[in-house]
Amino acid sequence: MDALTLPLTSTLIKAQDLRRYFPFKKGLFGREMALKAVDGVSLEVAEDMVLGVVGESGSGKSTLARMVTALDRPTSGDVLFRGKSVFKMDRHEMKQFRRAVQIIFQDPFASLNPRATVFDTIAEPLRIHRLAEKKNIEGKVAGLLKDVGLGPEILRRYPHEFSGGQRQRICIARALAVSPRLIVADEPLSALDVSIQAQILNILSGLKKRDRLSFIFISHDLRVVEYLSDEVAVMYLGKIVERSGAERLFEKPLHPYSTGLFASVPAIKVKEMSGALPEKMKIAEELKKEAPKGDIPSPIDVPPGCPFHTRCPKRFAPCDKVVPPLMEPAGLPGRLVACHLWNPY
Amino acid sequence: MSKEAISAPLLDIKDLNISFQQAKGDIRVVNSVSFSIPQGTIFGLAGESGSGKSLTALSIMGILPGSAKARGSIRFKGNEILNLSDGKMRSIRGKEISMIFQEPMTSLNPVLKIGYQVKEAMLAHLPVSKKEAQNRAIELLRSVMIPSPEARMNDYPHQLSGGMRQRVMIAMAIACNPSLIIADEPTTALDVTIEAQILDLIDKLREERNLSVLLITHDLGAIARHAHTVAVMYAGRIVELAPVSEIFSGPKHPYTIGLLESIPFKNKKGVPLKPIPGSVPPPWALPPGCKFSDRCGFMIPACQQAEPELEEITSGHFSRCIRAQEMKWTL
Repeated sequence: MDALTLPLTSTLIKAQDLRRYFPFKKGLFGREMALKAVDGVSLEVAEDMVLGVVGESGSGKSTLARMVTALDRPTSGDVLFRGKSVFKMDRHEMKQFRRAVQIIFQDPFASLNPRATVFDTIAEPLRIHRLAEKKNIEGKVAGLLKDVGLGPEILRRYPHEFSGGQRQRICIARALAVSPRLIVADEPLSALDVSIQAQILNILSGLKKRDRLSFIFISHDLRVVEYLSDEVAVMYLGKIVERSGAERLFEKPLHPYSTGLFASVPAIKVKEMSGALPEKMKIAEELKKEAPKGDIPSPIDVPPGCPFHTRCPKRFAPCDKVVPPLMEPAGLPGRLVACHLWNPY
Repeated sequence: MSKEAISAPLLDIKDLNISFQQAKGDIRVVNSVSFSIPQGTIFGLAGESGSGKSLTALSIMGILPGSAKARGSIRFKGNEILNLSDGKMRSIRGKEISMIFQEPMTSLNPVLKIGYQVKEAMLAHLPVSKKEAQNRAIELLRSVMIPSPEARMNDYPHQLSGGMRQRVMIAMAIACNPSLIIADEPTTALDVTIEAQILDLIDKLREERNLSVLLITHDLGAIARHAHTVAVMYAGRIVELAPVSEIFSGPKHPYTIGLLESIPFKNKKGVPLKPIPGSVPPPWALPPGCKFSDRCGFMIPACQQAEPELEEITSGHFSRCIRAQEMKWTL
């Protein structure tokens, strides 16, 4: 029995207490230290669900993506795909896993082979997984290109002939070629102009509806994550600090970091104007005050206790000593937050 | 002083054209751009990559690449500064007008200490002693809210985070008390919480020092929060220019509307976005007439017959569209 014919459970992929430490030495004879890129992350993605992962640079989003797709092994913890550990799979099971879980990277300029034509790029996974007969393969590739809004006239062309948006479409077509169940998209829009971003976003959400695909959608762009996600995990310095349904999270973030992160995104809205023009738009000042002060600490030197306490406007006694666990706050079922304010124990 | 002189804008650009000279003929990348920035205000220049925003900025600083040629007029404090001689421009650049670039790591010298780099412009432009420059540099670092500035003076750029480096860039930019700062995508390389801090800092300095700022960005959110006036550029042209409150409450050009439609808003969850179809054509393959016509949902045959002028629709609100009056889009 292979991974794809296992009985359908609603949980597609599950990460259990994932940790990834990168050891390094400080100075020539210094002691061994560890950069804790991901430090105890658990999450699950159900069928037909989009999990958004937000956080700033150094929060461990990309390392998490690499472990969930088995491109990197965790220091400890496990990734279960339909109940089976991906790090204990045999060759055959691994091939099935690789087919079911696809990844799209940030930089479409670096993730296509410059010497392969569009046809070769998209046909390769079809050949490896024997998903099309030789005589049908061209039609199948053209069909995949159509799904992402590209025409068959580009089949014999090379990546350098395309714009960033077109290349990202080609990357999506390549990921779709093997009919995956889960697509891990690591900042797929951030190299693109805003009007092109919207085109790609429409393609992704259209595919989600059509094929009932699951996504882990990693982005620093909160507007996009809010638009696309069913559930959202907020990461900070290797930990998930808050996780809940997208709507409720954006409606009322619980963790002070989430609040601050959301407050940092300038709202595009029009409020009442006064005085002579040019007049600046009035923005929600109360939100502006909550934007986090100071710098993100280096992941080499994560503060003790709550990793956010150095920037937190609401810190109190236990914050710099005790690491708050990610748990359900009283009276808010279905939500998870790692903050002493919400977890009085 | 007459009333006109008081209200005369600090920077006044008229009919700016920039072209690259190629063997096959000139390629025009900035086309009759005109705008002005009054003292103490932030002017936002928005548009996607290749729209000509950065070249416009470089021409104000007089640092266009060698193969580019600029024509038209850029008046700063009433004096023409376009195509000024290198020597004359040097006395303005860094002193009267300074610039903050996108990537603070590549715009700071990695082998020189922060303190030296902040002092450099002051020693070049101002009659100050080394000691005075040292003290002023510390004050500048303090004013951009760098913690323990005395200690940071002896750091090298690699010892600072991206946000701190951008603060150093801002300290350098204001070192000689300029009246205009050009910020070209100053926060694109930074995280959102740091981006908010940097833009708030620029805004605070503007208010304290009565600076004018030309803020170049592709982020309409940053414009909405910080700018007074905004110009949207497409294919080397300003297609819409208006007070910021106007442009977000009632945009009058289909391209601006397309940009706003491309941003996912809270209330539109699950509804497909309406992005602008296609992509920006290269400057040698623009359509006849209106340069946006090949991607525009409002296109009528008249659009491709002649290029529309940038016309005033309501007071202070300009649009380069023959159907501007019909645009009824709201947020």
